[in-house]
Amino acid sequence: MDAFKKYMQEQMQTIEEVDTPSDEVWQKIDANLFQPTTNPSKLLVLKPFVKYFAAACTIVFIALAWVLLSNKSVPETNNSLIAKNELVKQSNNQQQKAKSHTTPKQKQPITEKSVKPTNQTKPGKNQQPKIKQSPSPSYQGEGGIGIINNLENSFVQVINLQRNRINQTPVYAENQQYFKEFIVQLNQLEKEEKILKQQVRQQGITNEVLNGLIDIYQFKLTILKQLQSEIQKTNSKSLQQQSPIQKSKPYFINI
Amino acid sequence: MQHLPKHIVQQAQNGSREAFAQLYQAFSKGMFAICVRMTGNLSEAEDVLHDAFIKAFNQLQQLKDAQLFGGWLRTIVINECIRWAKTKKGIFSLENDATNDWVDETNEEAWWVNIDITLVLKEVKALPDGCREIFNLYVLENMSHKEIAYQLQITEGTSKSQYHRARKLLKEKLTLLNR
Repeated sequence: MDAFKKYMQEQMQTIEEVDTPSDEVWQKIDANLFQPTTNPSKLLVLKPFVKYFAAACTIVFIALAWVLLSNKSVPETNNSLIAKNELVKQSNNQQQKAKSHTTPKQKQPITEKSVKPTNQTKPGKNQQPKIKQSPSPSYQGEGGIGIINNLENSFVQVINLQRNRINQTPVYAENQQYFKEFIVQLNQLEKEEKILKQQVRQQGITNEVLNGLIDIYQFKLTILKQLQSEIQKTNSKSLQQQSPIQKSKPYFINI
Repeated sequence: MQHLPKHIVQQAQNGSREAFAQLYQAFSKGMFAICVRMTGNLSEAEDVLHDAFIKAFNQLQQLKDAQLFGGWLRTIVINECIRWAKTKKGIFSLENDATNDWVDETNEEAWWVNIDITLVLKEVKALPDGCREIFNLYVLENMSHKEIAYQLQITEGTSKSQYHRARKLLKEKLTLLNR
């Protein structure tokens, strides 16, 4: 260390700072601090009723969007409840037709514990009647996946729309690490989705699996929407603070 | 650095407005001094200070050990100062500066010994953009030229050149004032 640097560091211990910030600084901090902001670390901490409300709104929105855009009949709508009932009806019909294909080992439905994605609690779930141990459906493997694909198609259009929207939004503030939490959670949901689909291939489709997948798709939409909102918020804050000359180079998040 | 009782930080982590105010009261002056030295003016220093405290208070949950609050806050303030410095495009360029007369640190006479430190700090604040930030980071925040280069996205050579430029300017100004 050079002598001057050493001298400066020693002397800094002895001096008393004379500059003080104006009172306005604290007033601004106090005002900004208690504005509600989206904190990525609290992203999935939602009260159950808020979560159900958000899920219900998402389902209604998807259903309306599908009906308005495609003009298709009820069985083809994007309403996850109606889709779910249809899929279960189909599964029951096929179960009756394919009784001879069942084996004793395959009779056990997937338990709620193994199906449920992480970070979710559904208080109401435990109160649902237990699923009867029905003969394993004949649409295991490709048949079950076909039904899941139908369900997925109902959601994936909206999810992809939102993804593209985010990928095309320039980000003027913060580095990519700031939004990392959202991407981590999306990746986690993708993994859980794959696990459930694998279970469908191996053990067939049950109400728990179906509910789990619907929850995953709904959660994906919620996360994407919150990410979009966070980007817009940080962009507007950054653009207000920077002059046009100093505008930092934007980048694009790739989800 | 000031040390506050641990429970104040914990109360702030629980969302207590009063605790936030106490933390600000205790640490704002010291952090503001860093911001003033880095930015060179009070107005921009206040903006940086504001942003740093907002960030710190919003991320307070991430602090596991309440006793480390002071050092943790200082890191955030320094990072905000660096972020501010990076918005000033071109201030680290040395196109028009002579970079050949670097100070020979080993044989240099200790011209600073008889000079009041407050006068030295006053002149540090008055250094031109570019060399002021690097002087502060290297000398007062004890970062290496390699770390400074990484943070400011400049070369290590530029960091060293700017530091020597700052030293040269300080020596010229302070020895003149001290006559």
